[in-house]
Amino acid sequence: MAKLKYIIDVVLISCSVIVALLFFNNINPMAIAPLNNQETNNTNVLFEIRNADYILIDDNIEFSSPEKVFLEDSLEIKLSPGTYYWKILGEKDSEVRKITILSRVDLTLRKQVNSSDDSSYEVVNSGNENLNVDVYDQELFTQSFTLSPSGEVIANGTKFVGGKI
Amino acid sequence: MSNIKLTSKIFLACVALTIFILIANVSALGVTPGRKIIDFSSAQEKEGSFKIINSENRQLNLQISVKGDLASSFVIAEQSLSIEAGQEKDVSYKINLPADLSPGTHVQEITILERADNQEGSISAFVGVVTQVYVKVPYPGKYAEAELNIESAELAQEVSFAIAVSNLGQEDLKDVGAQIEIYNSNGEKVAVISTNKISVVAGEKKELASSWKADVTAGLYSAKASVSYGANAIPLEKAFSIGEQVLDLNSVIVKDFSLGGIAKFEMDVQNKWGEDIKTVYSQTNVFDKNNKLIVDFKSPAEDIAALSNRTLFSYWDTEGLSKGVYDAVIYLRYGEKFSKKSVQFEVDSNSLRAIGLGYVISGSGKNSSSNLNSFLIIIIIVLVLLNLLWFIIFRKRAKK
Repeated sequence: MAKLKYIIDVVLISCSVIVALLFFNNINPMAIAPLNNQETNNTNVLFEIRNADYILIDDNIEFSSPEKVFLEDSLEIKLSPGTYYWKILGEKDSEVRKITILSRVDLTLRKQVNSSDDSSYEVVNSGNENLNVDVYDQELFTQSFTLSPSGEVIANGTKFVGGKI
Repeated sequence: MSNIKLTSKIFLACVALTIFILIANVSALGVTPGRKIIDFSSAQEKEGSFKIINSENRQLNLQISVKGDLASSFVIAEQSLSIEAGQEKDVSYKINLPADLSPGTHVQEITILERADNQEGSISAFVGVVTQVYVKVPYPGKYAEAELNIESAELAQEVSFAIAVSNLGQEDLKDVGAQIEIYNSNGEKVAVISTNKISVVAGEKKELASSWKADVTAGLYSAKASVSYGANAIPLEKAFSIGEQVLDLNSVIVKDFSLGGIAKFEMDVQNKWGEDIKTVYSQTNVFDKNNKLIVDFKSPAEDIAALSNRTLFSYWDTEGLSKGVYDAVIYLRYGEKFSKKSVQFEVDSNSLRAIGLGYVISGSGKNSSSNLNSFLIIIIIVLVLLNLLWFIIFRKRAKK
């Protein structure tokens, strides 16, 4: 009889502990990605969380003008270069994490193979910033144009220099 | 057999030549960060660095130069360098800032440019990228700059206003606040709101925030803000919109209908937007029982004045159509946007009636985690009760 009591006791207490652990693990929102203080050139950031459905993102740690984003488990969010703070909204708020999207100026030239003009190029903005591109012909400035990220333009010249607007 | 070998060799040669031409015809160069900001406080030496990225399949020989009023103060670690294919390289620099810099932002540009000895194959142009260095020198006394950001909202929802205040002066700012006046498209003031008050330390940037419930008609609005710090004020202005450009289909009437004839549809459309909407037309798709499209008819385009109704007319030749109930979708198209309503057409010998099914509303998924929480809470309560019960029984038996 004493053994039966002991078994019932053990079963009850074990079940209680397991369920309590499950419960507390389930209510605590958990930030998985991106890591705190992460720096990246990639403007598409994968946010991954557990036990919550919303995150708050802002460019200031006081979250005075936050953007509330609904995500179930994970979502890729496009962010402009800059520093952002984010936290999870759940039964209780998570820690505040910081992510920095580094600005990247990147310019690609592709020679127009089918063009009869020898100085005709496809100019592509391969970075993540809006660019101002100055075009020179034999060191003589000829024109300037703007290119948004992934934007491309056909231009003639012998020197193409791109910088952030 | 020898012919096959020859063909293979020619094929391989063509592939190699194509790859060579493609490589030779591309030139690419990158730098990060695109801009660095240095806050000036006194005559001092500042250090910085940038990373050059060669994403091409060939070595790049590069030349680095500086342009700007502080160009002579820059000392670049390497002014001439080579980067192997697909590699990155960090380059550091120092700036000896003079003590007598004028207030404001001094823009310097570090240009990284391919050298002439790179040129090979058929590419004959140089590619260059610029990383900027902004040296910000504080203004004497109190000086601030501000930027107004507005998050547009739906009708009857909260519009968020955020004003980023940068203290570019030498003194800390206290009691910085703003008053925002909101005007409709007729220039009438519809609301005045105030933000919180904050302090901004010299060289720092902070935000003023406020919100306003948009209990107004949909349309374009403008916000005029005045940010005050001490005796100074910064005027700001920005336009924003309330609500989507919404068109509502109030009714669909078909008069004098005869099955097999041409049905004239009169669709009463309401413009809920506070501005005129140009070139609005209806497009109706009717489906049979197998969900196969049997007809697609449109109305002529019309302009609908702000907050008013207009009837759009369209026609359907019902020759060969049988009596019955047909599923249909009516689109109200304007620009690249549209409103959509699902309806049913009940077709009889002498009548055609539209039965509204309402707008399709995309539902959000159920919150599975809160369901699980509720389940776990119930289990915990049950287990606690079982524990209590068990110990009460145990104690009673122990007493006996």
